[in-house]
Amino acid sequence: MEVDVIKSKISDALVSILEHDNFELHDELTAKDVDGWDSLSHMMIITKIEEEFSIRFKLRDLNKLKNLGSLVSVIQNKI
Amino acid sequence: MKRLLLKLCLFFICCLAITTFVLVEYGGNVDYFYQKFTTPKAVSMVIGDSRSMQGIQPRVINERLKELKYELPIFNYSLTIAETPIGPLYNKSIGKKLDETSENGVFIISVTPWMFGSDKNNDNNKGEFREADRPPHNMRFVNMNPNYEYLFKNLTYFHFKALFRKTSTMHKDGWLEENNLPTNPKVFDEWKKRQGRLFDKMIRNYEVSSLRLNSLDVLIKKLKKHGNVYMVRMPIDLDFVAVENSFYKNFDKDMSTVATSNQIEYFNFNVSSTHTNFKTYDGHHLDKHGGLEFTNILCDSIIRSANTVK
Amino acid sequence: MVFNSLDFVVFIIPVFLLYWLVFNRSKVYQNIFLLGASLFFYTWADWRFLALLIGSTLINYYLGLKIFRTPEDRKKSIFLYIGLVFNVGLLLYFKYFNFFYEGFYEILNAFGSESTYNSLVILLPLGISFFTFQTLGYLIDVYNEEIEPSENLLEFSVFVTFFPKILSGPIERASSLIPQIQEKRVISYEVSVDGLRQILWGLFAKIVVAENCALIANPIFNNYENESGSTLLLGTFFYAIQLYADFSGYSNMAIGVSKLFGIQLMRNFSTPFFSTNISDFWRKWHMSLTTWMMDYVFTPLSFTLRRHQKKGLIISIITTFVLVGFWHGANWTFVVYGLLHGIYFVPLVFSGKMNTSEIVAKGKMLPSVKEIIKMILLFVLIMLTDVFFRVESVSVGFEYLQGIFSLSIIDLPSVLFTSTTLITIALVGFFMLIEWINREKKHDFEIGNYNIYLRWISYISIFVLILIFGKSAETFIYFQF
Repeated sequence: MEVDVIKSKISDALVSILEHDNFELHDELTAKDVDGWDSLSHMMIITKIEEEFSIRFKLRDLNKLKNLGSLVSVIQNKI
Repeated sequence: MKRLLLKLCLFFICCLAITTFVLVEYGGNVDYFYQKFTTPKAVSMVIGDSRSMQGIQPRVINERLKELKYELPIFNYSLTIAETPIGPLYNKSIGKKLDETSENGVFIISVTPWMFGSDKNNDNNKGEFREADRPPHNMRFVNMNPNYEYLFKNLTYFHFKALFRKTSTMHKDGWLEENNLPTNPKVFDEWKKRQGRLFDKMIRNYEVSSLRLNSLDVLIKKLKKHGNVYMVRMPIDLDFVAVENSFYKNFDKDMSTVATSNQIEYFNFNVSSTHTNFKTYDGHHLDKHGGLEFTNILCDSIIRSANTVK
Repeated sequence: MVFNSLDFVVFIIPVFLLYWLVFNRSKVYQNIFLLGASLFFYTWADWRFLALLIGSTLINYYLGLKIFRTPEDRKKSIFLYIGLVFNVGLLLYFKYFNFFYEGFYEILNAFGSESTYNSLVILLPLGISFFTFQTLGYLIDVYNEEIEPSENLLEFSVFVTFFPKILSGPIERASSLIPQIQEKRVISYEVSVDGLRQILWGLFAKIVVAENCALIANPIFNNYENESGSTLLLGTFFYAIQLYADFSGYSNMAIGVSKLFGIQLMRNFSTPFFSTNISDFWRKWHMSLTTWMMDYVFTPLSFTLRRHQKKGLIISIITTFVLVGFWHGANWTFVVYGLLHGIYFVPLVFSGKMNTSEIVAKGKMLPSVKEIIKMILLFVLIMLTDVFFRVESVSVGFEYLQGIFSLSIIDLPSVLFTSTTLITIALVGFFMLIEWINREKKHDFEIGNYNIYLRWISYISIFVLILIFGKSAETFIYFQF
């Protein structure tokens, strides 16, 4: 899947959980930069992404997610 | 590193300066005993526990005993039952506080049964004493102003908050003036009950120590070399006398024996036939008014006795 | 040896000087010396469990390497599980054995059995809750490939036993502490002075604020049956402040002492009472424990339950906070404390307002009225849960709360207009004011940017406050006769 497609799907997931789109998708983007993306919403975002891509993360994948770039590459490895 | 240490030193010097100021100015208010250890060596002394610390007022004695040509002023070196029961430790400390040049001093030893009590877990013969880690026995210097040794070793005794309230003052002559007196009889009863519980506790934990009794004899003999010695049992409420008798049955007899063998006077103010009630705040501590009255009567007794001897 | 004792002063001065003047040639010297000082410190506090501390250090060191060096995932996890069982087992045995043992018999008896039991006498090793959590986190991090294990036993031992944090935290993370131990430390004037400031402030919080609050709270809690509702409420107020001042003061001293040795520990409290919701509060209260629980309990749990959406979140939060509570001690009261906090989160989950970790009134002098109301409401909610932190049984806790919510809550508290209470209120006010002013700073008393006169006036004033209002143990000495 194209990186851009992945990113736009992630963006959709974020918007649907956080209910806003005040963020710019770049590889260095971290949860801290986005309003409302905290340890609680994180799980819901992860679940949403899993649904969108029909994949399943492992707990250890979760720990590797440092920023948007690493999220994209983890997803790429899964599909 | 150098800069850090220099600044730290500066900070500690400031702290020390402030502490010194407080000690020098308010030493008598922020600790019950501090002033006992800042004053010079004494030519005459009151020896005892908290009863005499609060109930025998040196200023009165200094005034009244002038006529007897004793070396004055007299200094009150009594602390409390926790610190100064009769024993080798207290004797040693008295030795440090005593001005050895004194030849015609007056020494008043206030005795209570509890001052001869030793903790049942302590073996006095092995040198175990319950008062060992308390002032003045944990200190080397008892005549130093300001006394930092006392401050550092007994920091927990201090209550610097009292700086403002001044509920009690330890005077330079060793007399503790307590101003927080119960006006309400209910408070008096409560305080007296509390003292009763303390007595009960001591009865459970203490036993009369022959070693302490012997120390009294040693003390009298030592003090006699420096002047006249008087023993006194200060007045307390009669129900407390009964409690004390249950702890130490032959107390008066033993005291009289020691006094007679050393040819000194024993003034017992708790003989039931002549007992008068002085004003106390808890049944056995004379308050400042009762203490004034009592010290005068004590002086009467001393003068009378001195005159008969002559 | 607590930080606010003369013993500690006598210990720290030579240790500090030797560390920087004699043992400063290399990191190895520094680490050997720190390990020696730390073991001495621990032994002084309680020598009986020195062997346990050393044993735990060695076993965790070995397991960390094993987990890292084992190639197959399954074997890796076996070593991880051994580590989990070992560390959690230590904690369960020493801290919770009697709790479960008694609980077990009570359940049996509830089903009609009439067995009796004798609690075992198990001494609690000092600091066990802190160092086992630290080594647990270490092993999990190694397993998750977040960090590489420490190859050097000396460095690892310093990580576990470093004396400023061994007895009561902060619960450090390997990822932040070990790299500092792996480098040679150089003394920095600024850092040292900052550490000293933090110690001074911690000392003030502990022996002035906490001890004075305790003087009022203790008699109220000890005699709660006979006090009016308003007095009980006042008691919880002072207890809440006492708890905070006590623990944050302790943490500040620990962090400050550590700075003197060139090691930065993590922040443990960040002016938590200036929070507008419960999630915000927990981001600022006992942070080293909360973040630990978030990373190692909440995250895995909510990950596992992620399919259950909000329900899964709520279960995860409540479980996490029950554990946070239970970590404090083997008593149902702590479970109730944690449970209440977990429940406080529920509305936030539904409103989706979990993420307001803003500094209140950032960049401004005063908060808005709305913020003030929120802070007060939150404080009251937390203050009420603190009752369970203080009392010895759950039933007493509920009786206490019942006492508050009675008609006598409108009476004037009996102890309010005594000089002791008024002085304490003034001290608490001063304490909170300084905390408010410094709420955006790295710690509560970071005043390095003030001018020199103001700084020295502050130091000296705090010293005077400590001298005058610091705890004195035997206030009623003359009652001894």
